[in-house]
Amino acid sequence: MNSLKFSEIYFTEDAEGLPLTEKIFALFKSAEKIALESAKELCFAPQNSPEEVTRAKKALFLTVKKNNFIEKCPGTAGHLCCNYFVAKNILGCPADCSYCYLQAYLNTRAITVFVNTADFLRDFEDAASGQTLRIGTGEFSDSLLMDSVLDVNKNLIEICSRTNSLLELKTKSADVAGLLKLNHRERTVMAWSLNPSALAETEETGAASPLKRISAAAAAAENGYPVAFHFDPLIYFENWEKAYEELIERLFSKISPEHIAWISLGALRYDPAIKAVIYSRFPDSKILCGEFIRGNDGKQRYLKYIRMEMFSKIRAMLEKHGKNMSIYLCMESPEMWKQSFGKLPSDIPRLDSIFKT
Amino acid sequence: MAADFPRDLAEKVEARTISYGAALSLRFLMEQDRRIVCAFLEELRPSSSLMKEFAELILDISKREGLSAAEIIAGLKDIMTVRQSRKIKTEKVRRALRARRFPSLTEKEKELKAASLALSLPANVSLHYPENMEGKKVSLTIRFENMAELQQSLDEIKKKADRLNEFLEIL
Repeated sequence: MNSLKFSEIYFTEDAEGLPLTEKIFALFKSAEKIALESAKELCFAPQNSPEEVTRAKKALFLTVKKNNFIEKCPGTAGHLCCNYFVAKNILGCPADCSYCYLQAYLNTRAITVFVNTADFLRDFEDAASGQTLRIGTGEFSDSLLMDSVLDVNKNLIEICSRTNSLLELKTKSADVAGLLKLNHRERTVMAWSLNPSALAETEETGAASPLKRISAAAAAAENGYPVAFHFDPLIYFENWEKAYEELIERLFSKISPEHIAWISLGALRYDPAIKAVIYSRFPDSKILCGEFIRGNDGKQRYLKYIRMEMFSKIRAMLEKHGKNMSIYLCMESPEMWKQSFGKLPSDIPRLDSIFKT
Repeated sequence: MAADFPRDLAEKVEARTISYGAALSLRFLMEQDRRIVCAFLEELRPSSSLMKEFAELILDISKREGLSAAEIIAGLKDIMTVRQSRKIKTEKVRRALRARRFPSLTEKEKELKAASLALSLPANVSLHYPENMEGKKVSLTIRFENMAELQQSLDEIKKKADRLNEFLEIL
């Protein structure tokens, strides 16, 4: 069960007896099992009790979700949307990245697992076969880090292999061995978020090193999977250019551009409520030291000139290795696209599959 | 649900000498530093919202520059020791802390202010850039009493089209 350890497992009555519940109970025998009336008993305000966020990493909450496993990413007003669909079978992540938005977004003192897997898979199949979607499980958790427990990815890959939709498994794990030989029909994109090693060491606790992630991506590409990379969050620090350039050189020393389905760029942004959580849980982290201003969406973002510089320089670093890759900005305004890329996504035909679905 | 503050800070919040918003940042300082910043804020007595802003700025600068909050407060000594009203001191402290926390933003604001002055717009016309520089849309305010005055202002603005363009280029 690699490094996953949970000291408490909460569950609701309707989760009892389901196969995944039984499996989790058996896998984590020493964990205390606590029955709950409802999820409300685990509610808390992360900004007021940051230490509970740490505790939540070591607890599971097993419950049943009735419906709406699949939702369209709501995007942000005034920002260009990449039409992504989010599949929600877990809320929370065992890795502990200092910048993770889930720390303030989720208000349950445990990683929530919806154990009615059959319902989840049915909803997923309905959504993926009904229309052509880009759909992923990596928005509210890491797509792979819990798969040794859930064992759901092989089903998702198989479902998508029969549809025109694209499944994205977004991760910071390097453990892809179990997925490599599946019949994916190139309908699954294996995706990694990447940051320079120096940052990953201090800010991405519990994640594989970036070099291991790149090696895993190479293995996936060798087995025919399209791969994707998310330079998100980009973090501005002294010598950032050199650090990102080295990372990108490493990436393309192992991965050929034609295997890459897409690359996204997104600068660190955060809800103001998370600041207290980060200061409390990661007192030595310097990620909030940049020049953050309040953006039009209420989130803290780097001053636009800093974002423009990062986006345009990193895009140039990437395009040194291939001119035809689908590189896009995540949650940015049309002005930012024009000022850093010189164009809107609608003027870049190869981005049609992302922005015009 | 209230945040969990250290005792010394909780007492000041209760006594209303330190605002709750400020305490949310001050709780992350070491006790010695916290005491110095509290004393500083209690002397300056800014509004609750400004107190919150100052506490945030001090905490951020301390992290960013690897300095103690006490050292940051010491850097404001010149402002605090000059004989002037609390209102002026508060504004100067705000400007000093903001410039230190946001050097690029401050630089850009200076550049825009200079470009705006160089436009020599009529006294009844003012130009506003977007808050925090997000976006490229600016707004122009014209104050007038009659149509002739409005027409005259519009003619003046039209004559300055090139310089106005230069201003927009900076954004």
